Amino acid sequence: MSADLFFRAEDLRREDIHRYLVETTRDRSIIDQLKGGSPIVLKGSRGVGKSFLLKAAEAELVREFEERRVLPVYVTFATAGLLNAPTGVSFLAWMIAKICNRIVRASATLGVTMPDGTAVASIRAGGSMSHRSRLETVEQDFENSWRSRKPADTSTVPEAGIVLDAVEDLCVHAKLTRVVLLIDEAAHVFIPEQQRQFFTLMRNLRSPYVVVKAAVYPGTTSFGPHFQPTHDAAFLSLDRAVTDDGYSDAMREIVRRQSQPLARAITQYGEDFDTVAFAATGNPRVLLKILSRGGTFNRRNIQESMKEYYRNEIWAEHSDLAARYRGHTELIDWGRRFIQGAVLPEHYARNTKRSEQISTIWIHRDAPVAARAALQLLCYSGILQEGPSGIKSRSDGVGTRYIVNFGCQFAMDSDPVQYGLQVRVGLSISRSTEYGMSHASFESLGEFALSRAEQSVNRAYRARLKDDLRRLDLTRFQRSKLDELGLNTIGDVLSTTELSFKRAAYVGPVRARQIRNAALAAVLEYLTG
Amino acid sequence: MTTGAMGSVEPGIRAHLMDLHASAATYLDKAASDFAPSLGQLLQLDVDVRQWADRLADRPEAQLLSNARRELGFATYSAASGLYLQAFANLRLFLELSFAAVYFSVHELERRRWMEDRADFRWSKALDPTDGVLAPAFVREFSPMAEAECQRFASLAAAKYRHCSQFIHGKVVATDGLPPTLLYSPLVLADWVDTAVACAQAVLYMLYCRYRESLLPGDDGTLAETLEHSFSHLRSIRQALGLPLDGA
Repeated sequence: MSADLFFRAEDLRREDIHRYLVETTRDRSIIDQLKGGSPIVLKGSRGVGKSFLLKAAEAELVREFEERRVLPVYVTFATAGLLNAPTGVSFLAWMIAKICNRIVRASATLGVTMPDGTAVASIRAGGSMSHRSRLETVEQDFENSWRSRKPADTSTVPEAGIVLDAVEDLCVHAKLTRVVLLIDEAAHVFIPEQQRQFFTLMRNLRSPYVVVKAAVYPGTTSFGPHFQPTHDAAFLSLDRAVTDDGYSDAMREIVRRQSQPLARAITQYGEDFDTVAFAATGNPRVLLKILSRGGTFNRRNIQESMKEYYRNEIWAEHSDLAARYRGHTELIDWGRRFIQGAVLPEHYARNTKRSEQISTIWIHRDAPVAARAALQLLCYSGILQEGPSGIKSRSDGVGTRYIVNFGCQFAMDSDPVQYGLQVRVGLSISRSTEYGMSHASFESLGEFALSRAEQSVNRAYRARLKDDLRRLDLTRFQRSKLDELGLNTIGDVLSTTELSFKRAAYVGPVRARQIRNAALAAVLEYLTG
Repeated sequence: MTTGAMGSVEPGIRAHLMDLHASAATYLDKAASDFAPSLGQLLQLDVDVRQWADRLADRPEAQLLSNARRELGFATYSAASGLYLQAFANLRLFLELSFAAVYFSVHELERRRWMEDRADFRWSKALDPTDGVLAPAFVREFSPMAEAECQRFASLAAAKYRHCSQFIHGKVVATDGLPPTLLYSPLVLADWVDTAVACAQAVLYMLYCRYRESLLPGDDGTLAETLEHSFSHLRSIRQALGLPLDGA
């Protein structure tokens, strides 16, 4: 099975992207929206192909540049560069300077503008006639601002509005329709405070001449108080459904384009490959990693690779998130216990007894918000895939359906390929195990935020606790009840139990839970800073 | 115009040259319009090479790098004007002087002899598979992470140097495609720009291999951007810059 496969879009040069892109209808729709004029946040687990689609959009806009005059600017923020990045408000200036630099670079590379300091300009007798563009001047202003290292002094940071003016200037002079900023990994490499600044900037960088498209992971992104997720950008989810027609064919084609010998092998063991593809739960990178492991492609090797990855590695990667998101450690650990200790064994026991196979859970919409956050972190790791919300349960209530990673379920058995085939054939995607709003599994999360609040030395978190409770997403009625209880801040609400909320008139278990969830939701993204 | 021996009015030297210049001007205009993206890519690479060269200003090899870039400037102007063979010749000189600069950076005695015209620089020395500036053994000493990838750039530089040399030596296989007179040839210009981009990439990568250790730690992000722009698909570069690797 050993093959030299590309795991990441970043392994490929822009001109090679379309050789390896196997696009589904959904992918095409996303690429077109990434090329369009509306702000987009593209959400997806690690390895589902966010970077691939951003790069495909960039490559297509470059190819269509003469006719469309849309300038694509692909931006990543490398962690090495961040080591020298300033903190506080200076970070905003640093980030804007980087973005300006990338726009200048992209416009020069497409021949729209002449970069400053070329050799061909310097051979002119009497000195070069080239000069700095307005955008280069703006870039320098922001560079100077953050280099002055006065983080507390906001007056030294130029207004983000001058970037919009400079971009408009560029568009008008170079006859550009607009600049599309394709920002990859932003929320991944930034600490939460930086993420909040980024999304505030994304909100502000909106004009007829510039639009931002940002790729994010589920569960770990801090949007901050100014960026309104549904109003300031359209959210697109990049989840590939294994039950879609053509899913296996698309996965097979991904492999075929990378390795002919491997393609021949998977033709020979087609049924086994379909199970491996199903196990990957829509994640091409995981599929390629499994296939790239040593040995030829046969059932024995596949069994071993699947067991190793889905029993150990995927969980180790999930637990490793705690090193990065320290404030979320409790949620990360709870999520692992919940799926490994409760969900997977329950599904396995049920599947071995009945012909109808399941790998889906349903969570009540009023389940503790901490549990929902933990589920989002499992989505980040690819252990869960978020399905539709607003789904009615068999018993009572409305909630969200999540697919549990098929590979994790298949690896419960000593013969994952055979068991995988059984699940594939008998799968009922709409049949779930259900977790109501007060399910016993959620009990250990009951005091989650309180314990955090007491232990936290995180300044951003503490400041958030002091915010007025009017910032919470509550109805007027709910707010009036909190007034009756004499509560003023988000911290006050968090330190009050659901039982206490219920002392107010007309507040039952559902409203009490909703109030508590609103307070928790308001602080969760501040847990790690 | 001058008056000839028989009293007729004939175009003079100036008029002939101005006429050629006017033709060249129209070719420049066409080249700038037809090849904007590829010329843009080349000019950006040139500026990126300059960023590295600027940081070596106090080293003995700095002047050579500056001379190399000047030749790239003349090469670009010549190519855009329809002077294709001259453009390939200048391009080879850019490549040769750039590699010589890095070679001499670790062979000071040879540099001094060469400067005084007591020794020659040979291209084969610069690309020697054992001691050349893109040989794994050389790269290992300055940028170990790049050891696995350096040979592809050595091969690229060798191939492009040979291609340029074919024009200089009048090899029919290369010169057959050149216009017989001063004419605009999009085919030849496309070949030249592709060759020039590859040469500039090889030079930029060589500068990274040789100076990564001394220049990247104090970098304010400018050099990192030059690398990310051209080589972010390479594992060693992503590792050096802290960009995601597989499994991240």
